[in-house]
Amino acid sequence: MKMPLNRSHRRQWAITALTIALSVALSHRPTIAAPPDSIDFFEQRIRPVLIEYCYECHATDTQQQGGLSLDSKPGWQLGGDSGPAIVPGDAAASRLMRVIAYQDDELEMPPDNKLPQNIIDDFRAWIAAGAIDPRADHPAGASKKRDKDIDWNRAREHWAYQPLKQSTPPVITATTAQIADWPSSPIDQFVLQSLQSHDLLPSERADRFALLRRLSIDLTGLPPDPKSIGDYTTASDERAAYEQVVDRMLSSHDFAERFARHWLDVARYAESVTLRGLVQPEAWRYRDYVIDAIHQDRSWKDIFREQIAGDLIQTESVEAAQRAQAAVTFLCMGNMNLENQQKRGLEMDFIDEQLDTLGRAMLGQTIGCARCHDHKFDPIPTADYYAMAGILHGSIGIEHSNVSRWVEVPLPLTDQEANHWNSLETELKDVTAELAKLKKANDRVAPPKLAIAASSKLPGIVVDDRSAKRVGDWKESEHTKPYVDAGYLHDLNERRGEKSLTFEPQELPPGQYDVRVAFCASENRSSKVEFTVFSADGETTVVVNQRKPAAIDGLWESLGTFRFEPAGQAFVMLSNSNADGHVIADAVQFLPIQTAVVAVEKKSQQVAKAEPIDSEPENAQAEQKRRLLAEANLVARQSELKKQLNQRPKAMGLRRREDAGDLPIHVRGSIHNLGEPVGRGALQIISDQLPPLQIASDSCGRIELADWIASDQNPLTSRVLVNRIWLWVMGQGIVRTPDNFGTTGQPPTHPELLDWLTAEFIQDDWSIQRLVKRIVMSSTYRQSSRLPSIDDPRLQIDPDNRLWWRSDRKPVSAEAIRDSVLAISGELDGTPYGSRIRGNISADYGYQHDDLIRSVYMPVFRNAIPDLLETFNYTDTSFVTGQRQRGIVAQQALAMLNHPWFAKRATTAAQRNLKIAVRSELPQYASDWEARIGYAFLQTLARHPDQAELEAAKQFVGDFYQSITSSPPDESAIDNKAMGQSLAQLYHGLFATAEFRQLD
Amino acid sequence: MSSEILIPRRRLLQTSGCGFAWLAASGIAASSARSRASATESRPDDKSQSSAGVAPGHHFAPRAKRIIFLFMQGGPSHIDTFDFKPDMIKHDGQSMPFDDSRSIAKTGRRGDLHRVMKSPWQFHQYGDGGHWVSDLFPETAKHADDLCMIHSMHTEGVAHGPATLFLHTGATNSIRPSMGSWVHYGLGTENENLPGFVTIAPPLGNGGPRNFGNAFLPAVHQGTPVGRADSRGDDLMLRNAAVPASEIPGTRRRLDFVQQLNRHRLDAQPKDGELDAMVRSYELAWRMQTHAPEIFDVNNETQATLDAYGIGNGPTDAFGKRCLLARRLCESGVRFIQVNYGDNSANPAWDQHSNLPKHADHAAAVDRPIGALLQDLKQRGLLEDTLVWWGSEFGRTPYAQANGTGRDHNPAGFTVWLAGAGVKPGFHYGATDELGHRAVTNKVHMHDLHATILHLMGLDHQRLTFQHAGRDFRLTDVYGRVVEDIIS
Repeated sequence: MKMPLNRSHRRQWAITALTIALSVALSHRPTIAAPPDSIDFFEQRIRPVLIEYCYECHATDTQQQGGLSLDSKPGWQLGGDSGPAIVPGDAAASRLMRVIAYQDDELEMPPDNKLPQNIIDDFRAWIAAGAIDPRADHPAGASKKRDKDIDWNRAREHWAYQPLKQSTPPVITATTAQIADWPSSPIDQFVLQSLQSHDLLPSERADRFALLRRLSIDLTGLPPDPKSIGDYTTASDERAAYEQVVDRMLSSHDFAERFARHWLDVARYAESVTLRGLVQPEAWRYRDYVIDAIHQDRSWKDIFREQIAGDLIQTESVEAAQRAQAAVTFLCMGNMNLENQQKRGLEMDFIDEQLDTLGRAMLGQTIGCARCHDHKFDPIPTADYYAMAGILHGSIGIEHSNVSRWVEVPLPLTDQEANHWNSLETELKDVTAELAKLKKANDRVAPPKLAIAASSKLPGIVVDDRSAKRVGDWKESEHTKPYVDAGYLHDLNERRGEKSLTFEPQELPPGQYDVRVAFCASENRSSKVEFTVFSADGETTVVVNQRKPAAIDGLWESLGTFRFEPAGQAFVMLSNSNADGHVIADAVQFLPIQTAVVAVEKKSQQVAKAEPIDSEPENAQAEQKRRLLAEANLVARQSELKKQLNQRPKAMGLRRREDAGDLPIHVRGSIHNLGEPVGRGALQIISDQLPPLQIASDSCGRIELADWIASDQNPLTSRVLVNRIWLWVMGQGIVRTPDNFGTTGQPPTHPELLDWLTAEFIQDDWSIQRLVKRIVMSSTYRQSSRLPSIDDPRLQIDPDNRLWWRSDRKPVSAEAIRDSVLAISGELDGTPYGSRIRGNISADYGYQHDDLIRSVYMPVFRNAIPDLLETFNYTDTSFVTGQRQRGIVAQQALAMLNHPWFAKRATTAAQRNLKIAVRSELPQYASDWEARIGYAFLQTLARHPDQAELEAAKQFVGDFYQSITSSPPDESAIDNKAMGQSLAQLYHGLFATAEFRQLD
Repeated sequence: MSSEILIPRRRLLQTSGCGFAWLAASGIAASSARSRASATESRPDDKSQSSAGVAPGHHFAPRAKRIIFLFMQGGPSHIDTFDFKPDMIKHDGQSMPFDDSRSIAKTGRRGDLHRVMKSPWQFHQYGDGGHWVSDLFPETAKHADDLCMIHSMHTEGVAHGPATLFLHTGATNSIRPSMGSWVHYGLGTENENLPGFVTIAPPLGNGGPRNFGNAFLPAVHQGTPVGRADSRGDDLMLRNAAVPASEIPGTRRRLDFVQQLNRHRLDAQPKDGELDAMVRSYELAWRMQTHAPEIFDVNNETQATLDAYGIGNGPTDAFGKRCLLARRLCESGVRFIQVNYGDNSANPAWDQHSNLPKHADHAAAVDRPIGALLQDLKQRGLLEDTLVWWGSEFGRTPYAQANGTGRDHNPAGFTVWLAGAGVKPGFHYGATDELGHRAVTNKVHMHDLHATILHLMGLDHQRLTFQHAGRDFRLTDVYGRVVEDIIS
């Protein structure tokens, strides 16, 4: 619940010593009261209270909390954010009155203690009598200024709001041959120029081994294999070989998976929500969408458009339409509090989340800061927030119930596929109609003569009335059959609203149940008996008419299907509130859902097989049998159709809101405090650079917003994205606050470079692959990451490497660590695409992840992030994360050393190593087992060990080997099993090295 | 970003060496090394930059060095435990109008009729302060003169999930750092061989990991979960730190080999602070692995102690072990220890919507261990600088839910108690109305409780901030006040 006004007042109130204040105020009370319409009354009864209780926060020279000051008449006349505080003559209409009487849902004042009733009464009398207040001319009231005005011209000077500057790569004056040769791309000319201006030099080129590993992890998230290391490091034309490798990697699926994950961080991608752990089974389509888009190297202008309005865009093919539909999931993945009971508040929170994400992810703007007030630092007035919120408000992303739910929409299909589903749908409609008809006829048939059902013989779990917990007086009866076990209870048709029964099974295995209640119908019963089911999904009240015979066997009525979880609440309460006749309670049955379907069929069959009833003519009986059999068949078909239709492909998405339109400003973010409506639009600060955002009368505006954001002219969108891509490759952005291009963010280290890259990016139709290639082909990227000696001037002048005098030494991401280990052990399951959620689960708690699939495909469950990823600085799945944390904690070392997953992979890697004819591949090693050690180094660190390392590794492996076989490894008679175990130790050790987690 | 970039150069020079500075920034080093100035020196904007955020340290002299939070999940009924309301007996069974929080949130409706249901338990007065405690907590009641009760709590969120997140993070949405993370960010740890923020047997539901998550604070401040909510208390061990004795020599050899390679790399580039931090993290990991089993093994205690906590048999076994572990961690200098009594369901433990008498089962499981913990802390002098906090996400209504046999959630009024460092012993503060429904006198909002607890730890809730996504965040948002009246 958001109660901004309320709480902000509270804080200040704290300072008042309330008890003292109270006694002071009371002691001022005169014994003879002045009439309420007199100045004396104000002076004696009202002013002292205002001073004691209100001025602390509501005076011109204190806080003016909520915009309200009470130290002058104009103060309360003008009122606070929500308008005048007092309506003279009308106490009931005066907000101040409601607030001090603690009758307002949002606000109670004073916050800590309610005023004594006599004071409240005084205020009511005073207002009713016209609110006489002599403090007319306090200077504060009139001169009060609501909002600071934004100086737009000045604001536009901020670098990020300016149009792209035409920049050409600077010409380098080479002082040495080394310098003259260094630039291999325009990027390098920009970088070198800034280095030269600081009298600095770039670093030498990284060695081939380090460079290949860097490139491979950066572009694919996987280490290079020994063969490609061999090929590249021995290639005669290094530059050509390098470019070949780059091209091969860019076109690989691994590249798309690696870079998609970067964007998924930004998009706060997840497949469940935190609260209740509700699984979102269609979210994976968005993940696949991003991977595919990168693999196809589609234009990010389209990718952005589709993420905002893919469901509204005209497409050329069904595939394109499906793709675009899945893209909109971007707007639906917020980690919402779906249990929020204040549903309008929830809707605004949902829009806020969309806007905040969209703003930071695509525009680098913290628009969310303008929800409650004009942005404190950036030129984003609250009006801009609600202009954009109005657009998003035009679509529905959440359907409400006790626990609300995201929207799923059918995926667009080919005509043929659509026909298939449509025909199923038509059939279901027909079957349902037919069934209803048949049921009506069959229900008229007397049910099998059920008199007394024994709960022990009934399926599922039955709680009889005799074991229900009673509140109030309940009468036991056996008057009317049928019933379960020993009779039933009724409420004597008295003391409405004071009696209840609780049916709670001793133990209920978790799962889905059809919950049924038993009663014997009669005319004197209540037509609206309230049963409340308490299940894993909260409370659901179902009203049952007990005058009509129950639908099932004349005894049972189904309350619906409910989910119950281990140790969760599982009971049914019946109340006689609102009843209009006798309330009957006999039994509650929890029927496991599978049993329920079977039971319907069985019943129909039983009835059909039943002995002919003597009193009826034979052909009528035959007709009845036929109808019942038909019903059984239809029930089965209906359930089958529903099951099939459930398989119809769908995606998380948005639905059109019929009453779309402009939104009013929500003063201080409150849904109860609405200001003027704002015309829908976008950020004013850059609007002069773009065609005006004109929303067609029949449009919600989302498609127009998409075009406005994904525009070549938008100075933010392309810059923000180019900076992200640079960061994904280089480890640091040119702007080091990738999600914040506002005035509180950092300025670019190389503004001309950023603008040049952005212009090229636009020229390349927003192609990520071309930009990445541009970057990795540069000498800037290919520098060594080595740190020079301490006295090196570069370390003195630019310790943060903002000038790019060396390559950044990056941490290997959690996914790349895990995937690399799997690749090395040969166990990586790289199957692309598709939902990877195992089992038909509704909550993510305790989910057991697959050990071997590529990390990007592991379901991203907000309550069940895999240990191995979480430990190594995984992304925050609730937030736009432009750059992950780089924390180094002991838990990482503990996991590396002791987590059984690493030990298992190391064992498999060793087995794999032993199968390789290693001497022919690595002839430079002196012995077979040395070569195996060398091979392990190549696989894990993508290089050969130096002499010291080789000795250390030999010692380590040899010692272990000897501890098993009691003799050192001897080339002529290697014990393969012992060598396998020893190499497993080596792999485990190499995985755990710092170098494995760092990218040189 | 690499090595020193995390720490502006001048800060590097302030500390004793680059590697050490890195450790401080990573939060691994002891808190004593933390430089207060550096937090305000740079205002990094986003989380990656902010990992440089060296903890602020104390704002003023602390009253408490550490916290043990006994979290009673699900909402124990205050009016059946610590908030005695004799008027409920008078009105028992009567239908009266109430402003039900759920109705207000859903429909804005007030004044619905509900049937008052008196407490099935007797209340008695205990100690010199005359605290009223029900028969559910006889052992805790023996320490009545140590308890400082706040009877006027109120909070946000009517459902468990939002209210539980609010209790832990000060927000009903799910993206803020938990209180333990804030405290750890502010003060670091006292024992570098152990994590500084431990949560014992945390429930999976109702926010799950978010309730001990660091959100946008640096990862080092996240809570370390120990054991599962649904276990019998036999899984109380740091993740990946329990190595069978037979494997320890092998692990050691592997570590030595790894460190040999790491140091070889570091020798070539001593200025790589990140690398240096990794080397140190392995040393620390080894120390943790060596020390943790000893500290986490509650069976090292005397039989008398085990008996006092009710460890061995019966309903107190699991919670007893958790409380005893809490004392051991407290003794070892862990800054923030949360002991959870809950389970993994959406309607956990104390959530008696029906069958209120089931409260007795939960009380039977926790009362004795809590009494023993207080006694133990006192005996060892730990209560002088340890703050014990007992509480839940909300209380319960004085009326029967839907005329049944249980009580619904009540965020409008409930009780928490504090004991130990810095709070007035045998004191009670604030009050609910005569039926215990809504806090009316000296109301204390959850934000206020947070502010007060931070204050007791020597932290100013208005100054303990972290800049993220363009603005300063704090545990208490823009709210909160310190309840001075309860401070001794």
